[in-house]
Amino acid sequence: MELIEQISLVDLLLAASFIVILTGLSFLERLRLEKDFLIGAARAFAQLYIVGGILVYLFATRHPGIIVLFLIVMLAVATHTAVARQTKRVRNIYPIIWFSLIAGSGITMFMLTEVIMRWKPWYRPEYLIPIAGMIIGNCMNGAALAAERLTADIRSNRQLIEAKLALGASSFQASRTFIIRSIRASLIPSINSMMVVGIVQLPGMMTGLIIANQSPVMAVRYQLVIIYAIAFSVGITSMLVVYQSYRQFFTRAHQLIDDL
Amino acid sequence: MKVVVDHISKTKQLRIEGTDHRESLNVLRDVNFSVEPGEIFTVIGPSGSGKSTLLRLINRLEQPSSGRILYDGTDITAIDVLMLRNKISLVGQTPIVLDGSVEDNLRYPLSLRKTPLPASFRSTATTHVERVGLTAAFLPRYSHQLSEGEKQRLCIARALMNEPDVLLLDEPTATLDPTTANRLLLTVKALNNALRLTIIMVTHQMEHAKLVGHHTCLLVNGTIVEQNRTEEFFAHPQSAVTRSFINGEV
Ligand SMILES: Nc1ncnc2c1ncn2[C@@H]1O[C@H](COP(=O)(O)OP(=O)(O)OP(=O)(O)O)[C@@H](O)[C@H]1O
Ligand SMILES: [Mg+2]
Repeated sequence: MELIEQISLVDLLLAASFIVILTGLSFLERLRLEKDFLIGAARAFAQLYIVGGILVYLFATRHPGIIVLFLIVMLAVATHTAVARQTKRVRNIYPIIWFSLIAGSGITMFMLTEVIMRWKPWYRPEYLIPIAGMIIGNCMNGAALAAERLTADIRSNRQLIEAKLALGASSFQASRTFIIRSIRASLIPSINSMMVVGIVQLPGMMTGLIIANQSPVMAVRYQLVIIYAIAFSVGITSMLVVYQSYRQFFTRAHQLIDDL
Repeated sequence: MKVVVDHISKTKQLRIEGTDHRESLNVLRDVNFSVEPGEIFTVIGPSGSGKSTLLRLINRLEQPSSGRILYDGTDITAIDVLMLRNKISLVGQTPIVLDGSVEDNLRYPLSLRKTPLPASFRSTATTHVERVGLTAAFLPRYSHQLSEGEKQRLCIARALMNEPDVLLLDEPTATLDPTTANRLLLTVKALNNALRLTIIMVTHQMEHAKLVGHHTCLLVNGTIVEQNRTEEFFAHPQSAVTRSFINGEV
């Protein structure tokens, strides 16, 4: 297999001139985005270099314990990010999202490593880390979207929910519409991306494989496995989030809590 | 069935926007009364006196801070809450109709049960819409296209689908014009007569309490100022507060 074309540090500096030119244009056009461009570019630089360093280390050690630890850190950051995005937080949102992300992405990763891909050994970091990253990232977005939507819907439909409770509905029955809506909302991005994948843009993983001289056929197969796995994991995660979250709005006696 | 409200108090926490500060508010203070089976008990009182809260406690949409409520001699907290809400049905202050037709609305309470929809559903639905002064022609109509008064009636008919023993009505006449309000009050009376339904009706309009009530109580600032047989209540008010409320001064 041929080696991938190299990028030298000089090449990288030349690429940075994209940002320098853009910043200059921003100044001339008074977009007042100069600072944001520079900070954004610097952050991207630092973050990617740090991750690159960590990956070099992970690929070198190939120790399953350390790789799993890295996955746990990814999950923790994803949980924190999903929680931070909530404008109004459900009680127990941290454990709910933490558990759902672990379960949703865990089940999916298990099926990928044990049933579908069967890497030897299962923790091969070159495969496991990037694929787990894509799955966890999508689950994080799904969980955040589902929790946000459910909270907003329940808060703005108090009267309707209480009217249903008063007719003898259980908390589940009274929130059913909103449970369904928030799970749907969290899945729509996955469905949309399946609908348009490849039409305008080649997806990142496929692009990467093609650049790395893999046959497009293999790149396509990898990409399909990933988008199916992402849709599944997002669905499981957001269902788990929603089925645990709605309960936080009610007492055991099927009363809508006052202080939402 | 008899309903006893036994030394009920309710404190609510007021949340002040933008702070963590909570303020306690005594919404109900040591409220006592009992409602005999088959009677219409009316609760009157100014806005904010705790009338809605009182009904919500009886239906267990809220929990009292102290005291208990007995239904047929049993503390309501000892009864399965979903069953209780079938037996003691609350029709809220603002009529909330569900998406779909009038018939869909009437089907909703039955759809919550594990049992399949009874074959008699349509005839029961028709009976109940007619009871509240609508006709079978309303059944296929889209519920959001009803007038406020029609929605109010639909909500009562919907509550009746559960075949409750006790009906809790929160200001059923508040949004209605005098003619429609009077018709609704006649409906309330008829329901009480025809179904031996025990009714607790909240209103801030004295004439309405006077027209349908067997017993009436006045709630001011969360406290019952006076309660009596409705005729007596209005003919010989004992307390000065009642007299001024009757004269529209509270
Ligand atoms: N969720 C709540 N949290 C805190 N205080 C509340 C809450 N709901 C109502 N209150 C307060 O409790 C008091 C009683 O409210 P309630 O709705 O029972 O009054 P009401 O007698 O039904 O009034 P109205 O005739 O206007 O409907 C009011 O002062 C109200 O501001
Ligand atoms: Mg009220």
